Amino acid sequence: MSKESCDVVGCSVLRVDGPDKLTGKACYAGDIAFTGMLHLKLLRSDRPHAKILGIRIAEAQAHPGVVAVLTCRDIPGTNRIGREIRDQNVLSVDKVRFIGDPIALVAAKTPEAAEAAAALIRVDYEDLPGIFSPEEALAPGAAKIHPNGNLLMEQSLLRGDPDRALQGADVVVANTYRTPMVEHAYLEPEAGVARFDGGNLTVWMPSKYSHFDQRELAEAIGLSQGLVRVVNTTIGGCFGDKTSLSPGYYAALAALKTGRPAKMVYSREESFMATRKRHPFVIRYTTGASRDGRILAAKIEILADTGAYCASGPTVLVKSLIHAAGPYDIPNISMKVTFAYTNNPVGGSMRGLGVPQVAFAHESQVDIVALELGMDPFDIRVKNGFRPGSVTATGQKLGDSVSLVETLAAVRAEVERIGTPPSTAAKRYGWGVAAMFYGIGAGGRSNPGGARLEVDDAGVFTLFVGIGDVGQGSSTALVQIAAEVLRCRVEEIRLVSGDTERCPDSGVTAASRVTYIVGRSVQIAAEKMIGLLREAAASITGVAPGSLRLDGGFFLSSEDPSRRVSVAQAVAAARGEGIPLTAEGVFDPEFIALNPVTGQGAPMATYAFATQAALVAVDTGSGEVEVLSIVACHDVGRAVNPDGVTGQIEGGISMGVGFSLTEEILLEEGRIRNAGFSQYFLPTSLDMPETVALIAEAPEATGPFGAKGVGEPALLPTAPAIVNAIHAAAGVRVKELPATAEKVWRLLQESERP
Amino acid sequence: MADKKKMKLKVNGVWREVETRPDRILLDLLREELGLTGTKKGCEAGECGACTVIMNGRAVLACLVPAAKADGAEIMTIEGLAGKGGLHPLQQAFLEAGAVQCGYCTPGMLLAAKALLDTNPEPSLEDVKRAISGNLCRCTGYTKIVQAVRAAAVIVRAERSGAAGPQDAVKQAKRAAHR
Amino acid sequence: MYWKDYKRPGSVAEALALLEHAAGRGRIIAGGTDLTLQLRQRQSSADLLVDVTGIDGLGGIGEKDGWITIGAAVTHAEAAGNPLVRQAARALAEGCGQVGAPQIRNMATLMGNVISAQPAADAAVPLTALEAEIRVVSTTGERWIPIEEAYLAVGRSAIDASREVATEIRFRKQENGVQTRFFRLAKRKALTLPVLNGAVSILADPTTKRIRRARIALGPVAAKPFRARRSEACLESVEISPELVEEAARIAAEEASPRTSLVRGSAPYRKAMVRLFLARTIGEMLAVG
Repeated sequence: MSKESCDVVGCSVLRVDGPDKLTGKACYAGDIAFTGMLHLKLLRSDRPHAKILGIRIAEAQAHPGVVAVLTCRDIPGTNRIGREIRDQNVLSVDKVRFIGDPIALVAAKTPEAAEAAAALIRVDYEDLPGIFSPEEALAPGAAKIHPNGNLLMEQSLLRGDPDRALQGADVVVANTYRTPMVEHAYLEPEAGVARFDGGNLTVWMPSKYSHFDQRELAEAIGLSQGLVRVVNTTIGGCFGDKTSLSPGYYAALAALKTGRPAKMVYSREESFMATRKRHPFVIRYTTGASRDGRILAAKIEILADTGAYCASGPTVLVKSLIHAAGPYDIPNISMKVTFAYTNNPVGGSMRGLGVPQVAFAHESQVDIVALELGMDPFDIRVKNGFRPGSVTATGQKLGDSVSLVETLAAVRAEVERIGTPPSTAAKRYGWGVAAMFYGIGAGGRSNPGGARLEVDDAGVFTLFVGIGDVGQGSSTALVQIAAEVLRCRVEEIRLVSGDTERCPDSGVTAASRVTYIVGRSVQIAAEKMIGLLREAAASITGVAPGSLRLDGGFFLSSEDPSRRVSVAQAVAAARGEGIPLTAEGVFDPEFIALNPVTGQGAPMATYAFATQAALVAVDTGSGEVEVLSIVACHDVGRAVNPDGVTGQIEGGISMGVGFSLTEEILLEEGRIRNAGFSQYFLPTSLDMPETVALIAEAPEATGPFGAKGVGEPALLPTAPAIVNAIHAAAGVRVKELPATAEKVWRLLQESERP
Repeated sequence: MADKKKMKLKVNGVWREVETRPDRILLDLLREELGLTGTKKGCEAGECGACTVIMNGRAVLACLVPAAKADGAEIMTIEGLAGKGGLHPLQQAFLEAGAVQCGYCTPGMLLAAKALLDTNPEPSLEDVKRAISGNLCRCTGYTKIVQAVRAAAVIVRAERSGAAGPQDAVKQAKRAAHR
Repeated sequence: MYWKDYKRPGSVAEALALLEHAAGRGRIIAGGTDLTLQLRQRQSSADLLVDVTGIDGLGGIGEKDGWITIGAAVTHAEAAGNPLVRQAARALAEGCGQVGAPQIRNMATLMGNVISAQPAADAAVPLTALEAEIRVVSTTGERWIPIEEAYLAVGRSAIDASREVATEIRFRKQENGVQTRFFRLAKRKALTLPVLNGAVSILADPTTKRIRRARIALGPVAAKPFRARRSEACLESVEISPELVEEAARIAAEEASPRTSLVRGSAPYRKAMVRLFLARTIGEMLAVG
């Protein structure tokens, strides 16, 4: 259904998955039930770092309703998982490395029985020294969390001669910034259901990458991949997580060992404790600029807490490296990014993958430099900001799809229009601005999308893609792209997604890559499909294929307007000639991997740009910060679905408001003290500012109809804009997120002392 | 003290008799015994609003209501929101405003909004935000949700006053705004 | 099982009989928003739950003989929207209106808020400033407990919900000229326990320019809602001035003893906020400072 009559791409088409979600019909994994189904509960480590000497399960096994209690010994497969390094177990073997490490699995007839039995399992631990910061982890003599030591990865970047440039700079600003551990906090807790049918296993779960989970699960549990089918259920939010080790894996293990269907749903507390988090960063940042506002040099050192296991640490590291200098033409840059293991919760992929952290730093630095120079914060960004053809920190020359400066101008105009309320002694108002860029795609490696189109005898198309809609609207956008190419309505295309048996591997729903990479794959597949059908239509009509145009379900001939062939007729003709009517599209963006020493390369094929500005009110007595207004302008190349884009921007802003003001995982000796929504503060409706979400379009030639991406960019400028606004309003500089009331209060107190 | 307890609830207009353990909570009774999985479980601690249902006319959190407390009560879940004629104006408004993303908060959000419109047919912006302040959303930033509830309020008022249809309702709302 | 049986008696006498029969393993439940969770998280246990919300006479808000009475089944939403409460006890209406979220306010009762014995309860703190009393009925008779005596320790009420039924809250209808206010500092605007809350009641005499009666209740700055008595005495001591307000606020910050809390903040900050919010609130009420 389209809201207005217009072509499909660029139209705010109503979400194809909307009606089911609105009526309670959408099926999430936690909604599935089978007869004879077992319920699962994990016993997890309550120590941050310990050897497992023994696990006593007899009492648990004897609990009424319990069917099986499983440990690592019961896993026929490798029992190893990991997106990059397989250093994590499905069930721990001889060691636990964080509070929440899974040790034993109970399968019982009711969830209550499973939970009660899990509490009866006794683990004999030998405690090892706990390491709770990356500094501690890298100190000489520190206890080894993994056999190869506590350094996960370190990578550098060098461009020009930053030391020399800093010596010649008129202004040098050096600061240390800290960002907290953050929780994805999607509303749907992780869940998974598994069932054997004959020898075939089906696992239903919300997965951002069904094909990966299928492979990893099969290998880890010990099943032949060909016998495992992963089917995506409706995903209740993912923000980078919901892949790799998850309840579906445990359900598969239990189904294998008991022969019965099995279901597992994490409790909210478990979801907090046991799943991956945003990496906390310490960023040491030195910026040098000339008097006229040119940024000459940046020296950046990042130390990140990657937690107990590797997870996506390396990807987050590389993305940080690529983006840490910000969207600015800086000729001299050095970076060193270090990720260390600790016995804290595992760092994984979370919306932005290191870039929210570095954006906080680079946008604070640019603001501070501007202040030192007496320069307007917009002006300094315009002066140094990327333009088409600019060269990035990794030495990549940008293409044409760069409209950072336009986003700065659009936001500036709106900020001027809204204005600033007059400040009083008790309540001070101010605007802050922040800009960002974000590469679309995995970064420095191959990450192909895949799509397949089929058409049936009635001329109805079905689109198959491997990725599921995590809520961001990808299903709708992909169908729109297909419909645009096929010149039909969105309702005339069926979509099958996330089913490893039926769908091609499209790569992961992440990295803001779906519209650009999978969308392009869809476009390619659709164009191929038209080619196939056009040939068949040409053979029926006898006109040249090149003169045939598809529109509204018919091939029309420019040579002979009276000749038209329906898609169904073309299908019949093709079938008659034995031509298979399947079209596949694969798009893998070009890249040049980063040099391991200099960090130079062309890691992403295209980048998104954005500016956001925030108006805050600071209560100078209490330190409370209220965000009144946020203006955002995002260059998305081409907005396939404008409402979908602005919806992402608004959602990203709310995540940014939380990141800047209220969200932090509070850890004490590796234990999360605030593992619940009453103590981990997501913004509520009353905490959201008024938002103005503007779309800029600088078409990306390699993207479908010029589209790039917006999922992660939506979040990136928000926190720094708010922090810069706090300074503009109250004259204090927050260098450690979140900017809680007490932190701001302390800064205000300190600034008042003579 | 029995192993099972009999309860009778009017759910979405239909009386349902259920026999279940006495310490069942309403959320599990709806989802398990009655198979109405539209009401979602987000935290089981009354901290997220995903399990919001309307009980005896008021929005409540089903995860905190002992099922036995709901014995004899009238409950509306998301499955009962749409009428025979199609989607409720709130559902339609959410769809048109783009207010649904992952959808997990949506059932609770819709019912919190319905409870608002049932008692306050002309809610202000602040009223709407307050009415959904107990429903967390991680995807949308609430902006389009608030827009949708306000749009639905206009339509519901128009339907109640017997106007010809949504077009009329929007015209009426525009006229009212200019007075 | 989290509980084994659930009954909804039609009278207080019936409720008491059920409790007696349960021999200490029964528990009164009203809205259930606190108790249900506690039982399911196994922080406490009970065999029988006795739901009093259906008992006639426990559901009303009224005025009688100079007292405002609030039945045990009255919810925060009902109190917040009630014209009598809003007019006669603004701080109570405000406190009730800021608890948790609309859904919680629809279920949770003021009485439950008192009996849960939490130091920062948003209904109990204004009730403390209003010097409320609780009527408690047991098999041996009935008594009225001043609200301050209803707390034994954090989470432990002097009212034994396994043997007694608290039926009613009452507080004196305040004289003309009494102003009450509620304030709350929290990490976000809904679904959050307060970092600090407070209720102030002031009766000022415009002719003498003095405060005849001041009542200040604060939470969570002690084990229970805290009456800042030294601060009250200060306010009542001399003529109203901005300096008086500042001094009273300073004293209250001294008497209050919040501890450093991982989630709520450090003790120095919390004390500073007591001072700030009281100064602002009292200043506003008196239109000075």
